[in-house]
Amino acid sequence: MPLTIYMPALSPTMEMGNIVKWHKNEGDSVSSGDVIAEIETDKALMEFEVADDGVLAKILIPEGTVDVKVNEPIAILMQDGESLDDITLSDSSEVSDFEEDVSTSNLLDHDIDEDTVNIDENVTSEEILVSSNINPDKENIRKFITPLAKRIAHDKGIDYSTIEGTGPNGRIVKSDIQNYKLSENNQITQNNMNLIDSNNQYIETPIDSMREVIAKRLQESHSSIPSYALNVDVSITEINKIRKKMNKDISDDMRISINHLLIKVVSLSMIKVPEINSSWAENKILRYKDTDIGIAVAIENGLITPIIKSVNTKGLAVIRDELKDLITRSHEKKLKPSEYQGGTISISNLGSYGIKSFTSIINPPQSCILSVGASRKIPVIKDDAVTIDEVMSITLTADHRLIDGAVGAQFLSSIKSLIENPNLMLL
Amino acid sequence: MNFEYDVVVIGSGPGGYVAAIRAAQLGHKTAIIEKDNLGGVCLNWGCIPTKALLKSSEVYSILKKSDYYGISAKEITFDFDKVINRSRDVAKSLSDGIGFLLKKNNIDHISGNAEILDENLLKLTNKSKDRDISFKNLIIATGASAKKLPNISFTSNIWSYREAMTPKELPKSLAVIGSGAIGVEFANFYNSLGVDVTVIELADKILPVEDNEISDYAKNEFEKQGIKFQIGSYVESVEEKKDGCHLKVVSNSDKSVSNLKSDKVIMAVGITGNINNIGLENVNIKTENGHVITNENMQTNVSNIYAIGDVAGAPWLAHKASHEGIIAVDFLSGLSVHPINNNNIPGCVYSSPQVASVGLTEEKAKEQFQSIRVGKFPLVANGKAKAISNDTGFVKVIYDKETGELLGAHMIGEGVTELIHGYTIAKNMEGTEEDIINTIFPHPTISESLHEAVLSAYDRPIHFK
Repeated sequence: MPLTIYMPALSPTMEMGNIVKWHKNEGDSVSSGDVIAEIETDKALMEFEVADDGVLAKILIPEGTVDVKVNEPIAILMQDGESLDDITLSDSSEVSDFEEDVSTSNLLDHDIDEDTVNIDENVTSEEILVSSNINPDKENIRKFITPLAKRIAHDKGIDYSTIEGTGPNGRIVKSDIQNYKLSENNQITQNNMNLIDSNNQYIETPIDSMREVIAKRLQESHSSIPSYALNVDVSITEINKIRKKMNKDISDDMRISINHLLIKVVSLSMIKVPEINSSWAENKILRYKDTDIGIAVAIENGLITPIIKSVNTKGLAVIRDELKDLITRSHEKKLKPSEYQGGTISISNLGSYGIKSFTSIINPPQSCILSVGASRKIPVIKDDAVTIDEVMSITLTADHRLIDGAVGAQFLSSIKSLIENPNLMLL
Repeated sequence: MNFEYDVVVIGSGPGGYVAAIRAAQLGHKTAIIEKDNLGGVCLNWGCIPTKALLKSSEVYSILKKSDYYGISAKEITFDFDKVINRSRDVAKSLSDGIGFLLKKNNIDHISGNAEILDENLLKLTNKSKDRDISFKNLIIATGASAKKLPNISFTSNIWSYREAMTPKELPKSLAVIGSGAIGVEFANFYNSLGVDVTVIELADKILPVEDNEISDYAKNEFEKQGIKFQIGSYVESVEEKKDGCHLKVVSNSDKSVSNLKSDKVIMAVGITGNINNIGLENVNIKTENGHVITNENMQTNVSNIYAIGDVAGAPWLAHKASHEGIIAVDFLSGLSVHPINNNNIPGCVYSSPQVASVGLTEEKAKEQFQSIRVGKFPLVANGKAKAISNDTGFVKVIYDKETGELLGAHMIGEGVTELIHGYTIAKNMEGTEEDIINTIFPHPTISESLHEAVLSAYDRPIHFK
């Protein structure tokens, strides 16, 4: 039976590609492993190898064609004794030889247990869950993998979709994951070896799964999101007065902090400037109703951003209590995935370290991140006289695909005015 | 180039005959050369007949305590010759069965001795006519023979396993040198029939390859049955006198010497591959420590000659031989092969209580893995074991704390040899603890203890605290 060759998915996220060049002509003999075409995706130019022996009977999509969808028939391969008359183009949805879903439900199904979930196992899943929720139509390549190998790959944040399995029927087994890790490490070590000054003593630290995910996500965010920063100093004299009144005669752990107020202020500003409350979904923008706000928490050897959901419906007391609980459980690594996935903005406060101002890297798929600096007393001009005011610097790093400069400025300005005129919060 | 056969197999034990049948299945013209009875040591002088003998002693033991179960049985005796003959009948019928299988698969069964002449030729010698046989591929499955100690030879009083299973009469007392599976099974068998048995073992524990807890528990149980042990000792010499065998037993620790007298002696101190007189030197096939060196596809250093089973080294288990046979044939047929992981080969001892294990012992696991989880479940807590009033034993599992990989499983008790496959399947498929925890085991069965041991490893046993 003649074989139909379909446009391959050369990466898990590929949806279409361009056929740049055919390396074989109609009528040429091909052997398994021969490169028959060059295919260009948004990420790279890749060589496409044919899997079987035979004769390239017909080229259906000429070279130079762009935006050929994955799984569209692109050529016909004939095997011994067949003729072109045997060909009936099969439906492109009939895809042979694809195995188990790399989709998230499989990756997560060993460990979702609603009580306590170990963060180390799940930090990878956040990224994958979020991105695949946004692309529900994406075609997944199935891979066979043993439960043990799958779990190890998961724990180490390894994407096994490109690993060739050596088990029965090409199943990926534990040793395949171990060898892959080894070869990856060797590659990177090789590259870095030339740059390390051998006169300087160093200790090698292995990379744990949280560090690996942080590295991967933030690198991707930093390199793929067109971001920009806007900075403003906010006077906190007024808001501090209000806080003092609020916290009079209140025990330490029930006090309202500047962070709590900031969270509420950010939420109010997001309602005013709804473009902020959105996220980028490849070819569409999702705009949300409620404001889910993430707070960056530094934990041992890493960082996590638990989210307070629907801040717009919550008062300061509830925000205070929820934040306290989230921070405690962040340190204990007992957060549920839903508690650190999602949100459209994060707030990061390095004030306690004395940092004056800074910019942060956006947590995709959020639209922006607010970086809050330390409070400091500075001389200001008021009514043409020099006086002292206490200010803190806040910086908004925003995704320009979602938030244009003027919109970002509006948002920041709203935050500033609410903090400087807290009475406006009542409106 | 035309060869008489595509595949020739030398030896028809569980390695050889399985390889031959597989070769025939894949369409090769196959011949199997056997100088003795079909089935090799396993069928004729090993696995099979010993299990038949042990069944007889098991029945005897149960009958002796039938009153406990409310059944009265008086004057329980045994006819030793009948016990032995039954085991010979079983061996013969299975050996005949192999002959039938070979015929059905169109495999030429050639009787005689084979000597390799070169990479495609061997010389066959038998009673009728010597002739040369040419082959494309050769599989050496000649098995192994019992080792002997430096100063001690096999005689009519100093038995190897072969004489031990075809004795002329029941000895009154027996000294068993070596407490591996073979030694322990014979000790157990003879002791059940009323023989005074002493086992001498070089290592500091019996069943040296098993987990320490299993060895200790087993020794305890056997001692309760009346078997005596001298561990950490070796036999320097055996003098055969009119009143029996006189053994000089030396203790490793203080070199003290004790004298042991027994009717007969069984020497079960290991086996060594049958690598002599088959012409290996004519093709320069490399051997080491009494076995043929092979790669993971069972090839020797001559690419079209393979070696499988006991002759190819440890572990000396029939099921390992069979799997190697399949690997060799699949490989020479161009099929992809998944090499054997030695950690996934189960080992069993068919004494009473039985022992079965797969993978790493707790001691080895601790050495190789940073942190492990150990789960143990005693059979006294198992409903079925209590119901049949046979609750001796326990199940122990060892998991890698980091990945949930099943590193080892060790079992001792009633019928555990029929249960260990549950763990070997999980291990082979690289299942994690979840896969066993999520499996539903039938109740009431001893097999539930497999489930409970895993629960215990994860701090959540139900039927035990």
